[in-house]
Amino acid sequence: MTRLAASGRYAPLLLVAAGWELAVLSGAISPNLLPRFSEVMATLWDLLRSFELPREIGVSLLRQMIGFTLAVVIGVAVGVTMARLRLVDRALRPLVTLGYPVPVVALFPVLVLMVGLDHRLQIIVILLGSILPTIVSSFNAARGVDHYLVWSARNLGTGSRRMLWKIVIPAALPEILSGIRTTLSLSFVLLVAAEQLGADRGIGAFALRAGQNGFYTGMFAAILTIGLMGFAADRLYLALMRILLRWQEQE
Amino acid sequence: MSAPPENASGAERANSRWGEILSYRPIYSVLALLIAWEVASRLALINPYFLPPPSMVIERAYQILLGEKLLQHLAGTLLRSLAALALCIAMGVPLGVAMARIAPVRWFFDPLISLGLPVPKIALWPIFVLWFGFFDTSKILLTAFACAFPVVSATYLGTRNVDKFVVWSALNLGTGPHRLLWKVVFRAAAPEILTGIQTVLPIAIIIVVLTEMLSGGTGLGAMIMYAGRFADIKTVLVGVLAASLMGYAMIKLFEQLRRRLLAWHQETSATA
Repeated sequence: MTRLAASGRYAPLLLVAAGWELAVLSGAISPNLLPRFSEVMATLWDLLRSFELPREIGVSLLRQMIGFTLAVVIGVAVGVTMARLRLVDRALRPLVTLGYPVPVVALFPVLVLMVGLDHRLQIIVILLGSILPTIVSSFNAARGVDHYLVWSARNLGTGSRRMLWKIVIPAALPEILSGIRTTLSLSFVLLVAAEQLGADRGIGAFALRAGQNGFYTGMFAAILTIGLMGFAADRLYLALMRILLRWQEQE
Repeated sequence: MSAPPENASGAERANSRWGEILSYRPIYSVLALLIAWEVASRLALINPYFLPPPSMVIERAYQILLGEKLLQHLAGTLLRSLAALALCIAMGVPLGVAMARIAPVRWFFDPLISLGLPVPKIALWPIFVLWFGFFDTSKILLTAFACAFPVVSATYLGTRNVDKFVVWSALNLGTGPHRLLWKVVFRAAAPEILTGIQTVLPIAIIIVVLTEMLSGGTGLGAMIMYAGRFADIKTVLVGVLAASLMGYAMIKLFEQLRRRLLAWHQETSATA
């Protein structure tokens, strides 16, 4: 029953797809502007079967995963350290505050000249663009840990190392993890932006090139794929989050 | 970023003398970084070609400003961002309220919004170019579209979570549906709607700059990309600096606006 309700929830999507197909078939929208949904799906299937699209997806996912993982590992470490050590906080906070509104994708031309047009470029754009939001969200999470928890642990003789791993990080985990969720969708935006600005491989570059060559069914198929990748990554991450926070729900 | 409450215990304070000293001038680390950058670049410890000294970047900013080119590009980016934000608010807020109040609207849009939220909207750029061309229309529409998702979702959640008892008391006192919407529901949801708009401000600037980089013409993004083509890194950095300052100013101004709009709300009196 709940399964049925869950699948019924996405019925409007079918409606949109049907409306798309009918609008083009009836001539309300020119097929030059919007290829039929069924044609896009057929092209998507061809591109998947010929391994043309899976190769680009693989390249993109590899870049995204390296950049995202680096941003999360460094970002959470720096954020939690800032929340725990005042000296680090004082030194880094002005830099974080100033760096926060900088649009990192705008540094693209500088980064191109520095590292050249290869995988490292996309990875660096993702890393630079998503590290500051990660630092800020994990800083706020660790800062927001209930002080009574910390004080009682200290009263009971907990050392600073145990305090970090047994008290601060578990208590801040839910907020850190939801901050990382934002980082995840940000990393896909940065990936696609960096691939559109200049890359010969990857799904973002593929979509842009297909559009420039007038291969519109391929362009729509690739863009749908990017959308699905972002959505699937988000839902996978939510499932992972639920597993990681299982101990908390039992309370 | 507002400073979190300082709840450190006395022992913690005593342990961090260095922190105390630095705390009076937190801007020192920024100055230190700028000086280190300047010196390292002048002594060619870092490649001055890639990272020219800050003083030379400022000098370049002054030169472009005098030529009025910078103002022209800045105005282009600013106007596009504001147009996109206005459009996004004008479409997003009514849609969010409608989703919360009208069941069929919710049925149709809820899955679309929750599906679209984690999707990188910038991927739609080739479609927008195909439909609306290379100029202002496609840039403004894509930015408005990308910004609409967080605004719709914040408005929807804010309006849906309005305290039922407030609504019931208003109904009991004979408030009509129009007055209920404008005088009760909309105001009660205002803080969350404004938060939704605040999260979208930097996104709007980033997407406008990005579309300018992708298509050329005017605007800071176009200036950056054009300068990059000639390896003119100073001008690129001036563009990045200008875009950052614009984003910062927009965020700060909106915080002021929020305080004014929510003058009646307890959040304002609590911080005052």
